[in-house]
Amino acid sequence: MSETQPTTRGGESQTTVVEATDVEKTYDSRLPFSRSVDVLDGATLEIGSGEIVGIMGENGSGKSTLMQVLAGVLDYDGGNVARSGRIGWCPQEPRLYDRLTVDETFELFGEAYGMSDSDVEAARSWLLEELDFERFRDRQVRNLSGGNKQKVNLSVALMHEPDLLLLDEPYTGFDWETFQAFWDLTEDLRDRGVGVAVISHIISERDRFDVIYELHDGHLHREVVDEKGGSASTPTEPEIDCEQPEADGGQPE
Amino acid sequence: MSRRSRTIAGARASALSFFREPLNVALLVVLPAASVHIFGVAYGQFPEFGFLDLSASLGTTARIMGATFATGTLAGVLGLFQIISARDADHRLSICGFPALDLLVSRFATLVAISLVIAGVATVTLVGLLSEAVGSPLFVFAGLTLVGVVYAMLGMLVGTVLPRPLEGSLAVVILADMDNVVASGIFPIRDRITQLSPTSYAHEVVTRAVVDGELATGELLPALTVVAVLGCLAVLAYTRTVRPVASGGVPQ
Repeated sequence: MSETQPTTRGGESQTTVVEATDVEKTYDSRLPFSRSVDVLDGATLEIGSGEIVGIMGENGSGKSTLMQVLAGVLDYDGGNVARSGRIGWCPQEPRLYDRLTVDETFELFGEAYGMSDSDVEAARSWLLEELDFERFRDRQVRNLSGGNKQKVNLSVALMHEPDLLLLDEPYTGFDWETFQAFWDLTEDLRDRGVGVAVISHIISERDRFDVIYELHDGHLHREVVDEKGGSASTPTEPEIDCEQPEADGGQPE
Repeated sequence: MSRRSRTIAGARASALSFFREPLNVALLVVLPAASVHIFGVAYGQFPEFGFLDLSASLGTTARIMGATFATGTLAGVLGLFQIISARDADHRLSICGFPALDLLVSRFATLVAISLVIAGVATVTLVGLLSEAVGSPLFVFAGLTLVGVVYAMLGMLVGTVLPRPLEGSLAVVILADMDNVVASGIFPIRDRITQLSPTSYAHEVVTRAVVDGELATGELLPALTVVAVLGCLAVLAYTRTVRPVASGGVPQ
């Protein structure tokens, strides 16, 4: 996954880091008398380098499913997903080893990313300082607060300096200072050319995004956010079918 | 990064996870002693029935059963929790680039190492609590290690297909209990279903080591075959669980 194709948007040269076209995903029921749930139905999305993209939608609309499909964590039934460069994925629930310390977590995931010891140390120093949890580095993950656990979760996604960062509600449990530090870091990453996708429920954050995708009934609706925080809306599908039967069950989130 | 380096990192993480849980360490020390003693006391209440065709006395056979039960149960539950507790984290590690096979090798290495520790504790306990002299403690240790590894693999398999702590633990413990009774030969059950007992050969290795001090070479190969078959099944189930699914090309 190293080839990239430059595109031009708004006069600035951008590279598409992930492109999803007509993606379909259904959770099939394995039990008799229970329904399958259609989550994504022709979802189309594109994220460029140096772009912060928001993914919004009501509970159960399939945002986390979409993000897992983009990250390559979850298989999809139809359509196509094309990625380039390194991907960093921060899941909604921290998927970490509870009995390892913060330092040991960096070392283990550094091993997975194929990083050298010095690169792991550099990434650890940078993220411990940036997200302000240096004093917890010797503590086991299970003994961290929810917010600090989330910082480790986010750090694992960031430590190998990805080209595309996929964040599923990354600031759950953050205090105000950390929340601000998170956005400073995200904007810094954008300036470095990293494409960032964030699942968010917070309406007041809309002006932080360059583009917002609204997920509704399995379709994505694209809005470009201008500098004043206003948006120009364009559907990614020629026709949006809002007559879909409402999906039930808890799988999509 | 080399496979060796990844395997060491993975095994270290698994071992730390095990030994940092005080309950695991407490069970490791207490369960074999309690099990060997209780089995001995419980079966010691029976007279020596004529229909029993045992190579050792009833009390000795019962204590051997206690040792195999404790070893199997502990190793099985450990294998189960190695999979359940780390399932999501292993999946993420795999997505981050840690090959699923290397992760599996590190899990196997940890389970074998901890099975050795469990078998060691059970051997020392058995030798200490038996009134008769044990023929060969080394071969007893080898047999109990086989029991431990068989159940560690079974625990991994159960954890992969039934990733729930309560239901999974029950399945492992009930299986270990039934298997232990059948494998001990204490009841002369003549039914084909007894051939499915996963530790019948390993149990015979332990018994012969206690009674005669011999290594039951005729039972060793079938016991290792059981380990190999369960290992293959565990490889298939585990790699299917944790491997990343990324598909697709590059943006056009």
